[in-house]
Amino acid sequence: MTVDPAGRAWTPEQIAEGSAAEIAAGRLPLRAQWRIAEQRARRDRGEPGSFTSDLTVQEFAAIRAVGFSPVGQVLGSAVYNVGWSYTGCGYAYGGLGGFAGGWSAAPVVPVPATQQLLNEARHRAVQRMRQECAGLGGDGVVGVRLAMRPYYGNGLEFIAIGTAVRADGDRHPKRPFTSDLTGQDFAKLIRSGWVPVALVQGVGAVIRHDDWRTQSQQRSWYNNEIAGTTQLVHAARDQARVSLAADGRRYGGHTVLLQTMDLQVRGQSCANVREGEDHVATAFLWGTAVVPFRTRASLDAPPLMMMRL
Amino acid sequence: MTVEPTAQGLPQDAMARLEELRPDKAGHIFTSDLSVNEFLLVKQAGFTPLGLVLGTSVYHCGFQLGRWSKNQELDVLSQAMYHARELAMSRMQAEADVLGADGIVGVRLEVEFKEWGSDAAEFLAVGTAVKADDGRSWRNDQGHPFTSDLSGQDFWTLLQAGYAPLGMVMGVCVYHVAHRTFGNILSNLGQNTELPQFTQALYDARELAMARMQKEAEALSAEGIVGVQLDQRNHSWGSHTTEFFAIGTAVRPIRADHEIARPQLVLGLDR
Repeated sequence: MTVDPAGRAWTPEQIAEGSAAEIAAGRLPLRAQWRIAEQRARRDRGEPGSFTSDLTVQEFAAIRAVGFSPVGQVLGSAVYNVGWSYTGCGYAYGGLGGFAGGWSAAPVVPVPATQQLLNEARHRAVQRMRQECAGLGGDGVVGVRLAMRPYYGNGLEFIAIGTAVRADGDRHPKRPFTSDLTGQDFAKLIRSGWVPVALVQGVGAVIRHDDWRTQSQQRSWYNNEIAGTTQLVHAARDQARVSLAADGRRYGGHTVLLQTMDLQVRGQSCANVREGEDHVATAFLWGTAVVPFRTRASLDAPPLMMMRL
Repeated sequence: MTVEPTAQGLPQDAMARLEELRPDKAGHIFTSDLSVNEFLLVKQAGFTPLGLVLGTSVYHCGFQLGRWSKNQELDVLSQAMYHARELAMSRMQAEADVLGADGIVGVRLEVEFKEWGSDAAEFLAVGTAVKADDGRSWRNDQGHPFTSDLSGQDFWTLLQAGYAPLGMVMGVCVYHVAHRTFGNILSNLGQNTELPQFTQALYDARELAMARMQKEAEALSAEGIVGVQLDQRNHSWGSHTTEFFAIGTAVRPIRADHEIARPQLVLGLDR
């Protein structure tokens, strides 16, 4: 039996059931709610040991130096089922040739279902982390580590872990910021008159059939560019870039500082053409959107040239 | 630092800005591949990042057989590595041109062998396009935006010292190193001795790569090349075929004086 902060006793089954209902209603699971409530209450009473954090000592010092203090470690997670998101490669048996798929050039086709799934899963995880942060009375989360890992069968887990911080003084934003910057980087940004707004993500997912030209270019004895595959890869990256900019704009960002850039490519057998092959490219861009702010504080310290011993 | 920014309300000002954010506002958003340090230093140097630019090329390398017992350059493969990188770089530059950039900083050139067979690789060039705030043109004498693989920190230091980057220059040489003959192996058995054949091969290949890089710098009428990296990679060709790759940033002087501020000695407490 577990007793919640309000004094009610719960069996493990009740907790599991209740948590599922809470998640469905867009709230945090019960144990998270209790942990947050307890930590909040302790802080409000001014008890010692009232914050947790995974900051290093240096990060802690850096954050304190620009007038922020940690309020607690926060977490958000979302497990998604990757369903039947198949979009055909858009390539039809064209023409008279004896090759699989004939002689025509294959187009690069976007896979919106995959793109949407990855965006949604990621936003949910980050949103839950932000809810935890708001529950603790934090103004934002620094040092967020994001991970995407396959989970049992068709599952895909997105997880975001970071440390919630709170600004000294009485101005607080309605919506907590999030950022994957380290404590030191955060402090440097603030000192230079920039503030992080939100974690942003760009995803591009495209598919293309390996047409006869691609196949022959791949087997050639000579040097040549595989034009179709270049198109595929470029389209994936470009789509990711467009979706990153859209994401940044959604939060009112000004500049995005990229942290991670990744491209995954896999081959799969084609559903349209017998014995044909398709390639799917998925591109990721992860970073933090930042905005400049006006301040009376003196920021005009030029960089010092230093020689480390 | 003499003045304490927190006392002057730095965190409050930052939070006030977040409060007044208007999401979904139309307007341009810049993306940069820079770290926080690099971003701040590039700004400090008087440049504004315009956006992430990239160029890519998936390239199939042709076929060339190295003679088993001969040291030789495999010029087909050299050309492939050159051409594919040129394609990626020129596409990246074209993107920067469209953005009206003065240059590209923090360029990374990557080669990745992926899912599409052992002879094909993706060549990727990524960097951040920047524009000078002072309105002067920083393009090189061919009218193209400059490119540089220097980090934001190095870029700042270079400008402070009175130099400007002109462009990335590279040299490639794919070389087949001869296998040793049986007689050679036998005669050196158990001895500490130089293998002149191998020395010659590796020496030659590096010299070729570096000479080519130098040629590129001369074509840009550069004063010199900084930050040269000399790499060797076997990619997917086995142990006797190696790519020697030299890359650096060609620079030109902007001012007559090249004075670097006296560095301060720092004893780091971090590990």
